[in-house]
Amino acid sequence: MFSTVEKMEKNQITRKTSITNELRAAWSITKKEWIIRASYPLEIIYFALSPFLWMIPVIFFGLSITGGADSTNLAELVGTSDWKTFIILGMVFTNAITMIIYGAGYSFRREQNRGTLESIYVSPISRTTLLSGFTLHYVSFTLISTLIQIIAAIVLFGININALGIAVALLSFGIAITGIQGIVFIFSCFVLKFRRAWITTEIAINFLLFITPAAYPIAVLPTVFQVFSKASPLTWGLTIFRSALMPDLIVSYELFVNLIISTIILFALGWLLFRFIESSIRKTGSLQKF
Amino acid sequence: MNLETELDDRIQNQAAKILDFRAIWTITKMNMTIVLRYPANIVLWGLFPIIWFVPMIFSGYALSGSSTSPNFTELSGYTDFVPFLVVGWFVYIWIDSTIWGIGNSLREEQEEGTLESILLIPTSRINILLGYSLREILITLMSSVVLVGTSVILFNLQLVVSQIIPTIILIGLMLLGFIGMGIMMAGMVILFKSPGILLELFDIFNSTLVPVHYPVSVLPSSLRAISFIIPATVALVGVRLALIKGALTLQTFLSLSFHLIILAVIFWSLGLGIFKLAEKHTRKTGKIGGY
Repeated sequence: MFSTVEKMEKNQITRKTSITNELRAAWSITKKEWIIRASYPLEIIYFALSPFLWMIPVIFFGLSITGGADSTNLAELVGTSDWKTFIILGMVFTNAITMIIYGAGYSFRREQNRGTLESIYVSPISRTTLLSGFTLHYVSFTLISTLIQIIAAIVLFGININALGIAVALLSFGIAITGIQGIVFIFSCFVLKFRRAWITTEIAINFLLFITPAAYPIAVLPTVFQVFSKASPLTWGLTIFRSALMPDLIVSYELFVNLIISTIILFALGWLLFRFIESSIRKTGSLQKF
Repeated sequence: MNLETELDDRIQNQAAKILDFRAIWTITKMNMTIVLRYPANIVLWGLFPIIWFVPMIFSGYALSGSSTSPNFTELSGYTDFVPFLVVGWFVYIWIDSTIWGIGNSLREEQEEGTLESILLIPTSRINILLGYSLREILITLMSSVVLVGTSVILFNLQLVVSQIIPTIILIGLMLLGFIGMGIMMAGMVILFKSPGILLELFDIFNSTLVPVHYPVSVLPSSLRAISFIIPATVALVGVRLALIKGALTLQTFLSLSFHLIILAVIFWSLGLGIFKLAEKHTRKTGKIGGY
């Protein structure tokens, strides 16, 4: 009798987990995170603006090197001498990526600290949906922050943006986010497995940012790092994003192929690892341990 | 009853002693015991700055094609931007650790539930904060050795060691100023609890105005004036001259030292004033151990 009830419950849960319901659940998590964030309006302003403030030292450094708006060496390397637009767009992209990885990657840790992780975990939705809900919240917040950064850069530094390339830039960003979701899965594994995994995640994220050509082209990286850089979807996402928005640069078909292939590989790797770690955590019952 | 009064008097006398080196050292030792349980953290904090400034070096290479540029030389007086950046970061990690370290120390105790017990130690609060400062200085000393050692190997740097004594004196005077700033931050933490945004804003302010990556002359003139009220800007002028060129003259050293002493006096007065006000306010409202 007991097993019949259990089966009925399982069937009910399975029926409920249709795609529409999963999307609704992901949206509910996003909404919940927005409600919490809205309670701290000063934090919203700060986190939306601070990525732009961090760009200022890089721009001053560039100015001290070039003494003007053009760099002939950069023109030889990538085809544009407009170093300010090149660096700012690179940083806008990597700032967005960092925000999503840190935000979504540590979401389980935050729930653990709030004492709500177990309650969220027992809700009848897939774990992938759960994590996607957190990612969706950070993606929406990041889009607002990115827009603010670009407008501030246009007004204050006079960067040149090709408005016709916005759709392509957003498309590349969207595909790269799927790749980032793979990284978020991997980060969440570290958090679930080791709890205070900040050293590992810090090293990983700093390495990732190091090989992502935000303030320089891949060509200046040592050869061994170029190999890692070319395997990362962020490199291709950023290259397309920047090429689409800069009037002097062109987006080629090969860039999209590289982005899609690297995204699929990273997402699959992250998802498989997450499934494996998550099931082992549930078996050992260490979900709520600090 | 008499014994109680006597004990009370002894505690009061002890608390009134502003510079109690035994108390400062005890707090430092207590903290260092915890810190030394995780030696990898010290090495990592020495290596992280390298990961942060190497992209800047790559960026410089991409813009100029080499580790120098005519504009950079004209503005800074240095031919190579690599040692310029390394020495900049060598000084910057002291700012970061002193202010973040002291500012966050009380918050850490608050989160661990030990702040009230720490504040009940029969010594002046300043001694407690100085204990935390000394901990940060010792950690940063170890991390800075890792940073400079690794940079020398990685970038084949040749730093001048003959002027190391004036360098140490300048850094010491700079730290005096920063400890004053740290005490000010600790007061803000007691008052506003979560210090994250405040410290981050302070960090952005410092990293823009202190000439870590570029010479001060590249800043707009209004910002240049503000830059020189930050002790690190003053110290960096001398430390770079000493470690990169070996050309720090006695006159420059004395004038920079005097500038740093004045800043230290200003920041200590401000720090002590703000901390005392914050402490008084939280004791009145009874929220000292709260989040």
